[in-house]
Amino acid sequence: MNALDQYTDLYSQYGEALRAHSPEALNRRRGEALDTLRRLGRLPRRGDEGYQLTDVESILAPDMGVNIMRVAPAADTRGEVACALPGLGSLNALLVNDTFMPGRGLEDALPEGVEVMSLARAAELYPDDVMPGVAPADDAVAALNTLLVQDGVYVRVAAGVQLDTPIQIIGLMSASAPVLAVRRVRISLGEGARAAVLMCDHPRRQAVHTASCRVVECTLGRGASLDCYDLEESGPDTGRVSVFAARQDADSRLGLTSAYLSGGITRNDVYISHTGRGCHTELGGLVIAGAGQQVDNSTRIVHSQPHCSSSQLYKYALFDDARAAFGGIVTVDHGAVHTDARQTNRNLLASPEARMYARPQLIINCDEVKASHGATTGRLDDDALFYMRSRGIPEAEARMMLTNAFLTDVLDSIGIEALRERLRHLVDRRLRGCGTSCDKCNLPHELRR
Amino acid sequence: MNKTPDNNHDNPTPAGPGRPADDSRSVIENAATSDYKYGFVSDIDTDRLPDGLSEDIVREISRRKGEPEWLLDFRLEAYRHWCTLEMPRWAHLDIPPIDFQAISYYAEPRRKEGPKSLDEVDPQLLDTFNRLGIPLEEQKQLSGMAVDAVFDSVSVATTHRDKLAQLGIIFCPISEAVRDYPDLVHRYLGSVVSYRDNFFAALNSAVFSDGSFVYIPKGVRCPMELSTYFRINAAGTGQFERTLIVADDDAYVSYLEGCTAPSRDENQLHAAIVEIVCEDRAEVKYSTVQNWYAGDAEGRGGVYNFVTKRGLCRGDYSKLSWTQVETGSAITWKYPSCVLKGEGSVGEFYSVAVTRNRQQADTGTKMIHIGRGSRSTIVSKGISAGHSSNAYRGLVKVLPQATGVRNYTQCDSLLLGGDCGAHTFPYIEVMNDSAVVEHEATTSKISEDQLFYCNQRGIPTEEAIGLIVNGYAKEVMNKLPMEFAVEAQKLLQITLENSVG
Repeated sequence: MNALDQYTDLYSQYGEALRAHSPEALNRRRGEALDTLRRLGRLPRRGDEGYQLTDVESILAPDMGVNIMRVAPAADTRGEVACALPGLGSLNALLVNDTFMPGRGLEDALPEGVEVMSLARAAELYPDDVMPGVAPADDAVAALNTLLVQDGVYVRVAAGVQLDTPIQIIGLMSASAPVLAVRRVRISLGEGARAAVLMCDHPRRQAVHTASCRVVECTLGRGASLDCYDLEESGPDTGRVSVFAARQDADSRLGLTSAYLSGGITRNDVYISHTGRGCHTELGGLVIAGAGQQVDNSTRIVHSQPHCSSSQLYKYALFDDARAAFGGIVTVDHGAVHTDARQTNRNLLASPEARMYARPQLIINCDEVKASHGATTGRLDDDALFYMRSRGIPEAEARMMLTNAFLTDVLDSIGIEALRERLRHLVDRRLRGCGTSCDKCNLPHELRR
Repeated sequence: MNKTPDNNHDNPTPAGPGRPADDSRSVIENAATSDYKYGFVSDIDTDRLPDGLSEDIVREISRRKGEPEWLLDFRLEAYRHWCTLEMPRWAHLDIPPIDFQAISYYAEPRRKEGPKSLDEVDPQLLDTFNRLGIPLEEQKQLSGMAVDAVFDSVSVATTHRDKLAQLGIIFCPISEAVRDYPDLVHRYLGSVVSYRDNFFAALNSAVFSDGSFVYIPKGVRCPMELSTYFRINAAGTGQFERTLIVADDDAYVSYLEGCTAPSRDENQLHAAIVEIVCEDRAEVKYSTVQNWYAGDAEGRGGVYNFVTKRGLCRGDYSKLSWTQVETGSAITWKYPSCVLKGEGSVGEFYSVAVTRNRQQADTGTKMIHIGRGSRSTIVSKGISAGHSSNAYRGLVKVLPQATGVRNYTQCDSLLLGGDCGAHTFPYIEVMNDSAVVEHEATTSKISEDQLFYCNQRGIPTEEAIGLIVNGYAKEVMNKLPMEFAVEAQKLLQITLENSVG
């Protein structure tokens, strides 16, 4: 039995219970997803085109529980919301495993025109909007999520609303037995709306294997502007497969910065499509991976409309026996004139055992475009190290400083100052070998690493 | 470069002086109508095997060539392996289904005895090669180039063999080499490209017909360019040649390959294997001007060029350089590669690939760094016109033991017209932290500014485009041996005539 069969079998056996514990709007698409999965026959394996490194099948192969009956998670984290960024005053929502919990005072703090709620509740209120079908139908991870999803977070910012306070979605894993969290986040921005959403994945209680299968679907109305930040700092026994899909209407702007600071095995797929002219997409990625860690980012931007632009900057610093991959496909369709697409991937190998697989790709079917990509892999410049050491900086410190400098331009692109400084601090701690848990971590003790 | 229109050509460039810059688009989009001047069919009686592929056919090919037992076994193993494989589908190509049972796997010009000298070669054949501009008659030879001419499945003539033999250089059809130097062939055949390598490598290993064998002994610098011209003539056949080049310690050779085929409405399959072995400090320079028939403007006919080319730099400080100018074939699937096993070995890949009309190309290279301090350079220039699709696909792999590796890759694409495609698929796998690997790619069209600049100085648009394209490809053209460079530049000019300039 392959890894996929155990989920399709689970659905065949307990599908009725799953549907009974889910709102109708989420049930509608399950049949279609099941057909897709049956057609695909299996989850992506290492060696498949686009999967040089990651074996999605083995991430999801362990026998893990799915919370079909919607048992409330054991940890009561409602009391004090963890991870709030100092000086940010964000609107917080929690996802404990795959269950939505509002942060303290969330509902009162929401400005007019902004809704942050459980996906299950949103499925009752906005049944036609919770599953907009932005994630590609033939993506196995997205289909698996659609097959099993029961809850998540729903964010809606009405047309014209300029939200200054970031929304923070905190993902926690709390389990005493192996569990698969099937999470779904839906972000909807109306015409001319502006918002920032910070998603973070955090540690868990015990050394049991957990995995998350996450789908984030965003739609941006005309002229809307969305900044997403995706921070992963979880434990070594975690597996994560994630699909981030966004559909942008004319003149909208999307920024997505993902940072991987710690975790187990992660595969992130990003899909961006444009439905009107003048869209801009900016993707940034920062990866610091060490012993036993594996990170795989795959981005796909389809330019189908004229006068759109995209830029990508992914930087990796790999230590010990870390394994990492970057795959980016920029497609420019026929007729997408005046597209300006740039893609850059720079990788630093800080150890002889580290491995990097890079695959930046361009598929250009239109001549009136500017498209370029570049990828480099190497180690720190010996001359720069020598220069610093000759001025009395110890080697370890010099390496740390140079690595920090190498990564800094991804952080520079972060628009929220408090977040930028926070991440700088976390990166610094990570590079110094300290844990990345926040100094003032106010997570319930059992949830700390 | 000299921009005088080719007088022999049926469709001289309709360039008018002072064509306004606004016209550039229409000039670029003007469907390419220049004829393929090698598209004629030679009326030569051929002896061919019935269509289809089976163990019996494989045995029959081997029997006709009078091969030893080990080679027949090699073929049969390859055939059995091929039967277990499926056509690869990963390339960015739209390949119509191929009926492998509808192809004849062996065709040879009919003759009573093998020719002893050029005098005995069928005059029709000589005429064919003369029309292709390939000098087989030694007295007319000015370029000092030794030529092996392969017509359908058989090598028909190899020149300058005596002169080469004095230096101990072997340059002969591979079928002869199997007979005369069985140990050498047995030792090296399949050592770089195993029959298990891929679908087309298995197919070729089962049915390969002829090709060239080159052996340069220790310390010998081959004094002339060696060259093989391949010609598919018979209808309904495929060509499955196999080339094996071995450069022993401190040897040097520059090898050229050219190919043409008649214009036919059906597609013809060409699945070749080229294997190169470089021992210590040896250097091989392999240049290709690929000009198989590309099909007509609507995409009817043309050669499917599915080729496996790979060199093994086995020796320390050995060097292998691939240079290719790809203008022909309906579909090209080809990745000349270097396995850089020796310490300090060097691999180079310089490519210009031009596609127009409905041509499709998925081509590039693989640089596999195994040896310490090995270096590689990749320069790929793609030019797409018409409704064609042109992809670069390249792998740079640095293995854990390969310290101090350096790679630089540059691939540029030039789009001429709004209906064509230019794609870049690099694979970069680094397993050693001391490696420095760089990849850069750009995609652009000819800018209005460049054209305006040329127009301002009295250069008509079409000529200006030709100038710009040639300048763009120059970095690669410069790597070709001189005689070939002239031919390649002319070819580039003719190929793009009426589609660009």
